[in-house]
Amino acid sequence: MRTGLTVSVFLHLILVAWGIVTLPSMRSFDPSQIESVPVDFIQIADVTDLDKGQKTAPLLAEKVAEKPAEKIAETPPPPPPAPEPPPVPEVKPPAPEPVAEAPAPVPPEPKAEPEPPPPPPEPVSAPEPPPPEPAPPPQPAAEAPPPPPPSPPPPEPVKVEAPKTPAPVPRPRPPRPPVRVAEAQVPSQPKKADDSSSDDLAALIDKSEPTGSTNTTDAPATLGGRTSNPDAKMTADEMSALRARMEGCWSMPSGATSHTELRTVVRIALNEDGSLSGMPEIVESPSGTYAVVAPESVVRAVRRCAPYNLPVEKYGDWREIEMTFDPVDKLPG
Amino acid sequence: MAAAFISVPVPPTAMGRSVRRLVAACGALLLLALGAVPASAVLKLDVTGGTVQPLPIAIPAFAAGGADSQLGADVAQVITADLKRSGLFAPLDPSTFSAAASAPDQTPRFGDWRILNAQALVTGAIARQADGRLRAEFRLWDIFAGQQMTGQQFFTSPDNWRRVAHIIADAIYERLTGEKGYFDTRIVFVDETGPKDKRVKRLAIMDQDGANVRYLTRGNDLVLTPRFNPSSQEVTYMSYGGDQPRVYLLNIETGQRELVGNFPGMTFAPRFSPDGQKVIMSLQQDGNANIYAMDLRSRTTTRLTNDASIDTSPSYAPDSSRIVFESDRGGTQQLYVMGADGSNPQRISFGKGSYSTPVWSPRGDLIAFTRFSGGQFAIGVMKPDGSGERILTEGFHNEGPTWSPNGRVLMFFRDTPGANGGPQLWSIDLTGYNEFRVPAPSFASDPAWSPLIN
Repeated sequence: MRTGLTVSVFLHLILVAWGIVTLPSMRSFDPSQIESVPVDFIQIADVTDLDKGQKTAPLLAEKVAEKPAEKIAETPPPPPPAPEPPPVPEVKPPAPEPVAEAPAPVPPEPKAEPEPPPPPPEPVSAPEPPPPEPAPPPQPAAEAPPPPPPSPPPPEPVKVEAPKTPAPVPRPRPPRPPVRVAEAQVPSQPKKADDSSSDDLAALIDKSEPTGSTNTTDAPATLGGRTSNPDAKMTADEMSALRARMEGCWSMPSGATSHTELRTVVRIALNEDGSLSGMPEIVESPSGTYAVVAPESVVRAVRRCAPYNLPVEKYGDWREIEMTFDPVDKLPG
Repeated sequence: MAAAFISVPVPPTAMGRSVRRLVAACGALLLLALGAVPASAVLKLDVTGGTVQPLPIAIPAFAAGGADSQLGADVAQVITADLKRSGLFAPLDPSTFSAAASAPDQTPRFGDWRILNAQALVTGAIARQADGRLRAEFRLWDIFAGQQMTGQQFFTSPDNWRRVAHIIADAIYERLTGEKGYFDTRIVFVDETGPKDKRVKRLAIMDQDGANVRYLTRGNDLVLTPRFNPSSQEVTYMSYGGDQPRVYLLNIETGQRELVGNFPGMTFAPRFSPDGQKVIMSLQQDGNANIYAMDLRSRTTTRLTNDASIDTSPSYAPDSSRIVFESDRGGTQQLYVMGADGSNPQRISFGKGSYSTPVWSPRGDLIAFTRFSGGQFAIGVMKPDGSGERILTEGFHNEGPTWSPNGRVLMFFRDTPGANGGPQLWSIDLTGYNEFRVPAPSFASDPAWSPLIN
């Protein structure tokens, strides 16, 4: 017992002594600093989905673009007469043929006639003040010539709108221009017929400018960019997000025992803001007990999910969607 | 651009494959060069699932003149309760209805209801006619579409208002689910009162929501397993009228009672055939029980099984072509299906435990049963070939399922242990999620669901 105790005390003392001697010289445990790396998740389409550039497109100066835009809003009232003439010409040149338009425009607006001759040149200078869309207007002028073919449809409207909406000039989208044209025309047409006075024209321009400014879709030729590419496709993850959303909105008729009893195909058209445009159209409906109820539940789902929050730059891809509701996951039978 | 590739038409001529490919490629390149997608390229999306959320529906009180305003609220309340119990609808809280209930002959302001997230709206009115009858009318609206989906009106005696409410609930259910409703139905059951060791059991009948209880027997004799005749207001049940149990027929309207068949031994587990013209049941002799069918018109009996085991709880398929029953011929109680003439019996239950009280669904697609396994009683369903077995609820004691007339809901009784415990009626739908207690005046067992009342 005694010996054990002494041995123990002796050994402990040695241990403490060793500690006093060696521990201070031990390496300290300093955690090494690791630099954090910021990681962003981006969609591959943002990188790869580029607009095709056109050689004819002038270089865009963003600064320039901004200024004109501001002016536009202010300008209309004061310098109505002066600015108006120029714009008209611009449009005309691009706008296919003066022939068809000529008759109509000429009578009401004296300006129209003088313009024809100087179309290409003048536009360049004039564009900047009137154009609602900053960058686009100036460039269009240069490009104008090529696009003509596509734009033929909106011949008549062009005249009136020309000042306001340089947009028609753009090439890419055939569907768009017509729409605007229609809207713009309505107000402008009547006035033409009535008077040809410059004051009235000024008024016209004022009205039209706001509409022109909202149009961002009809872009003039560019050297390429990541937005407003009409061919941009919805990516797989965007599609699966939409699918998940639809599944959340769809309250399936509950009595069915097989998914085929509910299989419904619906086609919807969407506006650019994601709202439904018109009635959902049932393309295919099931037969049997749920022939009426299943399509109704699908229409309810489509309405319930609206408005759809989809990437605006891909509107061209999702303006019309055909959805097949077939709950194979829920009712495999 | 995949869509563009697909849409390139390739002439179906005798051109070589390579040539065709070349053409296709050129076409695709052309499209690429134009940078335009054909207008026909529609984005396609496959939605392969959905929710089983109940449908939000608004049911404001029915419009009624003066003294009947309470009745208008009651009618709406009965409809609300029916739809809610089905599990398929989520009636909205009436206190959130800011818009005054519009009369059924006016188009509602759908915007007001859309704000509440309602997807369907029921408007209605009741009014007393000059002859004292009650006129009830309703319209069902699709709120998103802003259209009327259905509308009907009924005339009835004022004390029959609950039935009218049930009929309206059925119409709404059918219009929105595509299936027949089951609210205008009744339940016959065994009412149990008194202490556990000395229960008084009376045959009783009530609406499927527990209202309008009536007693059909006085409680002198023990009664068990009542079953509804699918085609008339008639019930068959087992009763210890004398020394041993016998199967009886009872007319609900007249109270007239009659013994089924004149057999030497005890008879039990009776059930009507789908056309109501036959009663099928078990007859016990010499320790065996076999299945017999008796024609109620000709009073002739047919023996369907003949073996040294206990065969019982027979139930016809809705087309009367087959019969499901339970038998211990394999050692334990299991389910078998045979032809209506007793031919070719096939065992269909192969899960763990023993199976009993099979009932064929009125839709024909499923068979409900009670399963005893691991000390627990469960209610489940399987397909008539024995596949697709699903347990809907499980516990201390669940037994005796009966189908709603549309084959979507099962009612059964659940017993609780202890001196104060007793059986109660419960319902559960085929999803297994919507389980509700069915109100009854006291303890209740052996429910049987009536067909839709016509």
